[in-house]
Amino acid sequence: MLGWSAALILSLCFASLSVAQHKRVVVDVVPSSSSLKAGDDFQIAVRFKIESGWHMYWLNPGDSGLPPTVEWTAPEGIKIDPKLAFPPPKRIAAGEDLISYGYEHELVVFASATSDRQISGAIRIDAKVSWLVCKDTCISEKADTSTTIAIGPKTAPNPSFQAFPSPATVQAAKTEHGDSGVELSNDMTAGVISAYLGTDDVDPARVDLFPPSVEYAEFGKPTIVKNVKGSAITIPFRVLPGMKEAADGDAMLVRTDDKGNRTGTLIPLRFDFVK
Amino acid sequence: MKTAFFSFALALGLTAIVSLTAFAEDKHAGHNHGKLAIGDAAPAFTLKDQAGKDVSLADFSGKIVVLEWFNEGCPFVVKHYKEGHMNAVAAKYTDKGVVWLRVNSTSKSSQDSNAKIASDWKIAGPILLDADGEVGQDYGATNTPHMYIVNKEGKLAYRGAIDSDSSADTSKVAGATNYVAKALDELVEGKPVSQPETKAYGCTVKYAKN
Repeated sequence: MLGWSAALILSLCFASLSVAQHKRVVVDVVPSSSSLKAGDDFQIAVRFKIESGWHMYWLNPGDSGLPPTVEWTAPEGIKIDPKLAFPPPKRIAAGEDLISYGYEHELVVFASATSDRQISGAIRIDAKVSWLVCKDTCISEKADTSTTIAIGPKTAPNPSFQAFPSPATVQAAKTEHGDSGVELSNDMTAGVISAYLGTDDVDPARVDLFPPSVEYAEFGKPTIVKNVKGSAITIPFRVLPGMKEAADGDAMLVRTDDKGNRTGTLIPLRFDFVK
Repeated sequence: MKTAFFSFALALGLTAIVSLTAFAEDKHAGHNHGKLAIGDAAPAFTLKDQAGKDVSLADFSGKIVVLEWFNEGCPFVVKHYKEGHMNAVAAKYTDKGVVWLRVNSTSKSSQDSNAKIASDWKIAGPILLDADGEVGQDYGATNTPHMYIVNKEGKLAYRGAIDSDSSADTSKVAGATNYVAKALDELVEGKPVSQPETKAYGCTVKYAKN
């Protein structure tokens, strides 16, 4: 009896360490260039192929979950920005009244990188990737993977990378959304974040706003509000006491076009509840 | 950009006030937090522990009670048990007279599964069976682990995360701030809890579907 329990606990605890165990996700890294000119910038895509029925999480996982992380190792002269760019997430029901923000089937995230003029030969980039993948239960998984980019006279685009949805669609056009922001009640116990949608009519089914992960703010559900200036999508939040310094976080405004394509725009927000 | 924001904010002002009030009164705004506030009387309950014995909050009147929402299948809970961290914190404070109760609101849990995990993980105290999720819902428990502290007057003094590291990585536990330990130290000394509320992390509670 004791042997059985021990085995069960061991498998539960060490599921993430066992390489031989079946993983729910297959990971690979794909550079934007098959050949790179020394001194040029480039990008690296990290692609997660997720088993059907399972899901992974956005930077703000919502009510539960954890986003994937990548620890990069690159040679001298290569700098990789640790901040990953994510595509528009979906809302995934996580139980009664609880919502997570994440992805099913496939997730591709992007890292930006720079290179020095002095590099030569071939560069090998290693990635230690960890993630949480869930269905009814959650499993922590990890994988080590790598890619090699040749250094050459020109930067040649990698066709495999070109097939991915352009990372540009998830980057913030920071000056466009001047009318979006954070509004706090006078006593700083609650607030609203808003993303300005413009003066055109808005189809509520085609617009969504995902809040950032902010330690001292608990977000509710989005609604669309209209006034003389146009419409905005807003999310109320409750402030948890104790903030010691202001925090920044990006909300993501997601629009769906007629064909069902979703594009995301990041709205940088600053949260200051320091009393 | 700042002026544009402020003028828009002013125009939005009325609507924002309306939506703020609506949120404050909306008891279904995601988490039941609108129902139970810090300082409120902690909801009463009677649940069976892993030996089948009835355990009620009222049994511990006058004591500090910790409620730990638990699910052995959740990696964030495993994080705190794999190297004995949660048991060590519980032991430190039960030695000081604090009561530490685990509550399992997982729909598939049973008295037997609670008994088994208590034995396997060397859990010293009661694991209460709440498979129908009623008590979890009363407290608005959303995650595992989700921590609540009831003070000697029976009022909710703390709600939220066990600690400041929201990953599932056991190696991060030692370096994190344990919010529950901090609050218990304050309560044991008769001081108010300096940080009564934090955001819980972990898996969602696997409530029974309606």
